[in-house]
Amino acid sequence: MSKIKFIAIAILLSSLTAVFGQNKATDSGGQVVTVQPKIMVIPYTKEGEDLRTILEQDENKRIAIAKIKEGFDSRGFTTVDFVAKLKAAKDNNIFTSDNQTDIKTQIVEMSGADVYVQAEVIVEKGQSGNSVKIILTAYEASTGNSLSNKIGESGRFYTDDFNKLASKAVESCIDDFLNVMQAKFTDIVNNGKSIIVDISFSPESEYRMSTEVGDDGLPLSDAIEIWMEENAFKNNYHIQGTTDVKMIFDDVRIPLKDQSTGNNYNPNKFGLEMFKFFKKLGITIGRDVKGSTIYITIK
Amino acid sequence: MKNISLIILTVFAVMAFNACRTIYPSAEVNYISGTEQTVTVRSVGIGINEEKALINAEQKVFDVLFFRGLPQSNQKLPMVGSDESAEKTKHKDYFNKFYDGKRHKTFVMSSIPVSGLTKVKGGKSITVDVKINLNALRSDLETFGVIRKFGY
Repeated sequence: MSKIKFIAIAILLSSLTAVFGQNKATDSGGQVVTVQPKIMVIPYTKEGEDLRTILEQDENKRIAIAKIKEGFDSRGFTTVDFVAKLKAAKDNNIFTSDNQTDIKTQIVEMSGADVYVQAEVIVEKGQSGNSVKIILTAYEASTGNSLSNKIGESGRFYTDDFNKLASKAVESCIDDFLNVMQAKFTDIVNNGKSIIVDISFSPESEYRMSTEVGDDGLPLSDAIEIWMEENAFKNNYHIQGTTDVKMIFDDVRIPLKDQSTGNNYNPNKFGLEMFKFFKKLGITIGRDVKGSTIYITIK
Repeated sequence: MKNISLIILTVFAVMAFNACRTIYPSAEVNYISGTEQTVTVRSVGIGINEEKALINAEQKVFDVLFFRGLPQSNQKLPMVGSDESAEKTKHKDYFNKFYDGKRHKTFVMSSIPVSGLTKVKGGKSITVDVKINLNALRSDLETFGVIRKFGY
């Protein structure tokens, strides 16, 4: 009888492994590779300038962007190709507006880039020679946090070879620029990645931020903040503002790795924890995750 | 007899005090020029002979690049970190081979003395222009896990 029980348990366990275990084809034996940020280098555009044609018209910008990407490559880091994304966007007709800022935002969103580097190329012509200046700025796409800013200068030369000057301008600052970025990445590794949590209500919701919830009868906004205090990585969070119908955390730190399993952690997993919290309070929510922003809609 | 004991005691006390005291040598490393891949600096080294002084000058350059950063260059931030004793303890094997095993030499592209050997307190001093292969140095630190690769 006990033998039959043992066989039954063994069959049950093996079937559970087959259902929930990792596929052998993708099983790395527990090795975890940290998910790297996607970085895209884009040209700076003034108001009214056409982002779609600006690169085709201005070879100095193309050279500057290629040189910046070369800097990332030399550190063994692959960037998302802006021109390829632009072409894909054109092919897929993703542009729905003529507004240039919107197009830039749309490309950044479509590319899924976590970080984008903006390059502004300034050509200066003078009697004492010509020069090129370059302004490099790196931002976190979701939060707008600045990661690195540098100005590079080619120096003045009696030459009309602006391509070479653009290249020299990038060379003068790219290493320093990348070093500062890396210092910010180290801060992210140590203190967590910044995400935004936007909590609002559906029109038919019976709840408001002042509604008393849970066993303690705390106002909902306070219950949320206490949860955030306990769950933000290293207790690091910032509230942008709270009204009766909205609560925005504009900077919540989450770890890059799950602190218990060592697996990669992302905003979606943090969103799941929030879902569990609201479920415990008996509140139904809608949850959307877009890049590094979690939208919670209380129903 | 009492006097002799007192003198011996004083000598031992002074020796013990000196042994405990950490002397931080001045870096005396100044930026000359650089590219994306290399950096050239002027460094002053001290040693009991020319060879030791030269090695000291070269190693000071790496100390500055690793733990201080070099103003005006592309490596303004320290490559490894500001807390040199913690970093050296954490990566003891690497730094032992690098400094004591003179592995640093593999990253020195040129080391040209620009002054003669002069007598100074603690030995002989020499001024050297040292050119470092910065890219190879960074890759090496990454390969041996002393610093993280670019990214998270």
